[in-house]
Amino acid sequence: MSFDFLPKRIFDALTLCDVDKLCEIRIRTNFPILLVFDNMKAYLSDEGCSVLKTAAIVATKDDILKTIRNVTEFSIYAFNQNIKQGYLTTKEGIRIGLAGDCVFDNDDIITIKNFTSLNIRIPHEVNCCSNYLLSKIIKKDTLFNTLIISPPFYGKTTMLKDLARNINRLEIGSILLVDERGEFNKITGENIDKMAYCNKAYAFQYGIRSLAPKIIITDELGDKKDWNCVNNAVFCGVKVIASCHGCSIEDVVNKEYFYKNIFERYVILNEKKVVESVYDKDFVLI
Amino acid sequence: MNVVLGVCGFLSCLIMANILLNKHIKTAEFFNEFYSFHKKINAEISFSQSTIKCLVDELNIDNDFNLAIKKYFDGFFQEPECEYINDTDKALVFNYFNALGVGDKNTQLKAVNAFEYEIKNKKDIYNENVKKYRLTYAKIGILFGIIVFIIFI
Repeated sequence: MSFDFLPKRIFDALTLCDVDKLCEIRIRTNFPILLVFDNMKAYLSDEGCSVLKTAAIVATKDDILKTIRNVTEFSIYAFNQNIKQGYLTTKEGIRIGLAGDCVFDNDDIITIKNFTSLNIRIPHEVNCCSNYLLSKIIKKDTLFNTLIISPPFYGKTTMLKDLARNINRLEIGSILLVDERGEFNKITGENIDKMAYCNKAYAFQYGIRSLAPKIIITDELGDKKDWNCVNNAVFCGVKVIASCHGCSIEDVVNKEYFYKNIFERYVILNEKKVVESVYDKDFVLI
Repeated sequence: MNVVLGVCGFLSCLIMANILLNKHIKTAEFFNEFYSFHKKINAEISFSQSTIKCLVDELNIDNDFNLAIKKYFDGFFQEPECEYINDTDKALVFNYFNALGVGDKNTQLKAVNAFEYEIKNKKDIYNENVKKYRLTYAKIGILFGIIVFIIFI
């Protein structure tokens, strides 16, 4: 994993840390840089990780701007669609959440400027983490439409990535990866087609017509449009595996745009990033 | 022997004149490239979604401006090192480089276009200077050459 998009001082300090276990880097203007590991938090100092706040490197506005410039290759304008949605993705699939001043024209967001915080989320490949889940969502070569539910940071994307790899190996059929944020950059396979950096509405419509997938895998169903896409795909006979924010089945069922008859399996992940429970389409624990 | 020395002195004067003129030619070339890059950037931002880094990577390193911008983008973030460029012009180039990557399409266009008048103005002045000094330096070179030649013989 390369962090060469970070300013030199931060990059040099990070090389002294165990980045394999690093989950997040939080950079806030005028505050110490915080590193979030699996089970602990630490500050980034010139000597590597430190528990001492006083030793920490304090991020400047310039650090944030330099990071964004490097990721966007000095072309924020070319990444404005992503910036408007509050994130950037590096070439290696590292997602960077952005905070700053939002510029609106009536109800439409134009851009975000004067960036003040970055949340750099480091993706991890956990091979075989979906093996148990796979046994619950496939029966006699039939894949169930599945929704993976958890709060942020519980490993939904990691689980989806591993599912894509596993299903690719099983050769059930063509898989379409709808990757809005470029987080599935490294996932490839002989049965995998990928549509990256486009919204679900376009990818589902175009993908089903032209790529004829048997399975669609996508991350984070959010608004009505997303749920409609999945609904249409399921009624086209395509199997869908998706994820969505929530802590429990109730959270999802109570969502405004929830469609009851789409998914046949609901999977809840816990804070240890493993499957806690699997429910069938009638919300019965299986 | 004196004639040979006289010819050598004459040629040296012409070479000196050429060296003096060369500074103006290089400055003019630098600003021609700068202006042409600015125009390319403008078109790129307006009509394409490719990045400035891609555009810079595609530049040939066959002139000092391209070399300077490549160096900047390679992470050195410094003013051009050309000794024939004066400090004010170096600051202009540096500020221009710093204005790349500052915002969305409109903000970025405004940021680079704020420099357009100054870049074009300087480009025109330096090109005029080349025309003006070419004749002057040629005359001075020949004149001094003749004087040196006469002194030697």
